[in-house]
Amino acid sequence: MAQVKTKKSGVMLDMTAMCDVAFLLLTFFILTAKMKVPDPAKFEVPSSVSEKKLPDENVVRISISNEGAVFLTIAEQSKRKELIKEIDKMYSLGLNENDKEKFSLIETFGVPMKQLKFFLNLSDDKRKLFKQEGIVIDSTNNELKGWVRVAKTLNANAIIAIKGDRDSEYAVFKKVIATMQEMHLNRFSLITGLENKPSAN
Amino acid sequence: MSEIAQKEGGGGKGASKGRKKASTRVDMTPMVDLGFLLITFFMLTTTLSKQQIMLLPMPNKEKDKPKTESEIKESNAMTVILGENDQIYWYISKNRVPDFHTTSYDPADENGIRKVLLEKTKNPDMNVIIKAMDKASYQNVIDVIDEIHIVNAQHYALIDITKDDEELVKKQSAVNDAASN
Repeated sequence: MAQVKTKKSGVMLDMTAMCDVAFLLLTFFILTAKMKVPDPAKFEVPSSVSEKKLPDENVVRISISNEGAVFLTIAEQSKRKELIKEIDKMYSLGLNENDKEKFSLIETFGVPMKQLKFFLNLSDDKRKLFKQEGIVIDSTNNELKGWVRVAKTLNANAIIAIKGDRDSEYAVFKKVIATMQEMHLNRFSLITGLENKPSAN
Repeated sequence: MSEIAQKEGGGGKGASKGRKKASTRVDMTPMVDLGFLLITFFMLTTTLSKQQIMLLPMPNKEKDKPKTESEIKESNAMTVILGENDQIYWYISKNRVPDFHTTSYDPADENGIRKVLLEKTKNPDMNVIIKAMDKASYQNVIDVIDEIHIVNAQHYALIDITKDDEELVKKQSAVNDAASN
């Protein structure tokens, strides 16, 4: 190369513009991002041809795991804070401010009322490993009813979405539906995966 | 940029002399790398698409009860029963035994539930009544409602199963077992 006496041309490009683009996109993603919170149990939804979308807000989600445990999800942190305040009063759980704060950070939960305080007092790591046995939904002690009723009074526009694992038994689903119907909630949105519509023939 | 390349090629001599006007240009490559790395991370952790939903309106429990078999014309009510282990049965007539059919979820099956529903719901007054046994999986329930949406049936309802129906299923599965053996 030296013999030909050509100047070694630098292959470096001006990266400034690219950098600008990268960080612009990055800002966009950070601002629009909503972190995926790992679910406490397996919820593998069945697929359907429906193309309606679940709104981001005003959703009370009831999830049924493959083992039949019932979980409740409220996406908005502020709503969860109000919810736990009311529930604490209603069931006199004796939670302190710290517990309530912790509760407002948990998006999906499924513990019986009597376990709630213990559950909130666990350290974050332990709580992740803790096996949540689901919200109690017996006919004599229907805690799901309490949760949903309070959530509904705090936010009257909330829609009830049900996310069931494909292998969960219909019996649990039936109980959940019956619970909602007792409160005159008759419209449900069942969360499903996407499946292509077969051509009509 | 090419200036930097040259300068670096000189092994920093120029800088030590301090005579050359120092370039203010910075190599942005690592910064771009970092930027795209973070973008990738955020894209992967973001729930990109919203979840799909299927609407399920249920009848009010006390008032305006759903039309059950007794209230609608018998020939206009098709009952689909979902059993355990992905079993599915259907009947129309009330004196059901000869009319009680076993079918499947397979859309390709000639006697599958989709073909049956398609055939039966040509009658616009046909009501499809879904009765799931407790052991049926949630997947089955969604599948059937989905099939109903696919064939565009207008009237359907999800109703609790009765003892009668469970008996019929038991009988039918015994018959099926005997046939398969």
